[in-house]
Amino acid sequence: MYPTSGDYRAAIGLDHKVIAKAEVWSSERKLLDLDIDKGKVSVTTSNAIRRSCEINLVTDRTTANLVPEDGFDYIAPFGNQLRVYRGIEFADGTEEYIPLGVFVITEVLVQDKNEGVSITIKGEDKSIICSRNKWTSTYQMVTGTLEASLTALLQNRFPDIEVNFPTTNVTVNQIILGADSGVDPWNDAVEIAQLVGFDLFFDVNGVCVMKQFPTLDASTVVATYEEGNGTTITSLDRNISTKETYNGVIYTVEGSQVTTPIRIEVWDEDTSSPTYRFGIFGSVPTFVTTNLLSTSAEAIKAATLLLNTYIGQQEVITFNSIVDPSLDVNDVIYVKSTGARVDRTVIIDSMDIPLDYTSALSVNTRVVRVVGSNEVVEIGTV
Amino acid sequence: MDIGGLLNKVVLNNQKTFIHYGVVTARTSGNTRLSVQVSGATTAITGVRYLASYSPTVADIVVCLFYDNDIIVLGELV
Repeated sequence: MYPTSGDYRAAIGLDHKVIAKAEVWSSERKLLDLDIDKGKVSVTTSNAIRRSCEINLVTDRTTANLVPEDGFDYIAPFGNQLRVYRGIEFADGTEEYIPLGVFVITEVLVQDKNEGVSITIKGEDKSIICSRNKWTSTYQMVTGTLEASLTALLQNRFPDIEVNFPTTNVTVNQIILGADSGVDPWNDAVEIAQLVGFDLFFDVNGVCVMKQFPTLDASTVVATYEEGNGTTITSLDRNISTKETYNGVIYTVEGSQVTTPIRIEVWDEDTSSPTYRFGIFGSVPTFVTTNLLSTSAEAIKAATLLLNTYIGQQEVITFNSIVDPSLDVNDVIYVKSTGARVDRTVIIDSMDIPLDYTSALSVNTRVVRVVGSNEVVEIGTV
Repeated sequence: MDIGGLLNKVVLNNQKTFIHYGVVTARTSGNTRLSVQVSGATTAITGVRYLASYSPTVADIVVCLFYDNDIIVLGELV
């Protein structure tokens, strides 16, 4: 959740004046303010490129001036970026904007209509810069800490990238990328981070950050959505499915840089869990093989973090609500609905944040159960 | 790629395997590792391991097996 003022928190659930703006930037130079009519920012954990936006500009007599004539015009999709914000204008006229992302312009749609020229601009977060710069030859990621190795990898494809990585205490082995020409380096970086239990993405300020996958034990509830007086939920759906539910992770570490192959099994051994390994759900393992890690301790940590992300995926809760643009994916929130029998903390998986004042916030969440250390049931080598 | 996609890739055993050819440019770490320029690249990949049956010499043209993100030199092409 993006940090906000107390006034903002007090106002967000009540009637308030919505404001939104978008700016066009070239590197660190602001070129233009755009007048937004409507649009949305989509944020999801299910794509390597986490944030995307689509904005429709107000159609009036001046809109036609923005239509690009060539590739160097302000909103032409050849490198310029959008910074999008939504916020609140308080009763005293002061404003508080929440940044929703820095987007590389990828598409511009121009329509000439009776009422004027309509312009729609689409963009994707700065990971698209790394993603588009495909490997042109093999790249050797040398043995080192996860954060140093990923920084070097990302700077190889996006020299001006700004990163903010924590100390992970994870050492990754040498690996070779780009053996298959045309492979997406951003996908490679995201996969490497995920394999050892970390989430890699660009934040709302366009900085590349890395965080451990969220678990409820270490997280705090950042927002409450409860049925009753003052509720901000307008509708709620609940879907219980075992389509992508696993209750075990078999994690194998082997490769030319691994001294001795390692095999780790992590299972749901909580007898009160509906996905208890020896319950009626049965054993449903998934398998991960990597050459990134070297030690059992690192493999146990990675396997446990991956199981944490999978074990709760039997239930998805989707709801629409009054818009709070400070929310983000992987935020932990509390949801209560009597009709749907929901009364729990959940993690946000994806959401659409509208930029107009009439549309609702659309949020997809998943239920997560924390895996305890006693659920690492087998450690050994093969 | 999301975790589901990543895990599905692994579950389905979709790791990619390639053969590329390269030139040995150095023997390192007490001759237990090689530096190899792969597919005409000007930069060598260092610290590459090889099968015990191969006796490497600098300038050998070698067959390199890439398995997902790993590389092993299988032997010399004669």
